[in-house]
Amino acid sequence: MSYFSEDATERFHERDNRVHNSIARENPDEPLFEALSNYKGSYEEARFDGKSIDETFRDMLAKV
Amino acid sequence: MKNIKDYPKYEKISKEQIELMAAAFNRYLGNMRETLGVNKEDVAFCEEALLEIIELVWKRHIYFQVFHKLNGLNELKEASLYCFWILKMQPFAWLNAVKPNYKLNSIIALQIFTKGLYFYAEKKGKKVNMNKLTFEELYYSFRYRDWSKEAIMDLASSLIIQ
Repeated sequence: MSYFSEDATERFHERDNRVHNSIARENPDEPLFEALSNYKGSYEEARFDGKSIDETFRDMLAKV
Repeated sequence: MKNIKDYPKYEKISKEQIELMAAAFNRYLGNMRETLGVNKEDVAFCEEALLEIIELVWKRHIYFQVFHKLNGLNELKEASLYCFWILKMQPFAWLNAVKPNYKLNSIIALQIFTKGLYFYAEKKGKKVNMNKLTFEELYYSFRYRDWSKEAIMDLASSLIIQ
């Protein structure tokens, strides 16, 4: 086994910190559930076998 | 050279912050309960567990701020984390009914996850790749399979398409 070379530690130090590939949040201080409560959109328009997502959830709850 | 003690330490989430977040969560749960047709008297939640979940997600927010050069978690990841912790801590329970709580918790976790998916996709001008089969598979999986925080966040990303 060899020691770490000086080059390797230099390259490591020069390398940028990893930048996450996810898209940053526009308003990080807004509570998530505030945003979700105010959201009306494609969630309500989506259909699973002709039923809305919330209708699908209601069916699931009825079967619990 | 920096020593360990030179780095910032986590400060517990402030009372004002957690009150703000708990109020928003409570409002969301109230809306969800009405939309899903559940009576107020039929379901309860453990306040201690939900407050702990809020702080655990907040800590991850800070983690992303510090380590990923981002302004905290995006909404997709945050919804995924709430989903994970609800599955893990099972804070919701039926009252006055002999029904399994793990199914209730899985449904609530899935609702938050799904809402987060559509919200985020729409915000970014993208679509959600989900159908009835995927939905049922997820419900089954949330009840019986092992999930990690990272796996749920990655799953969420993979369900967002152009």
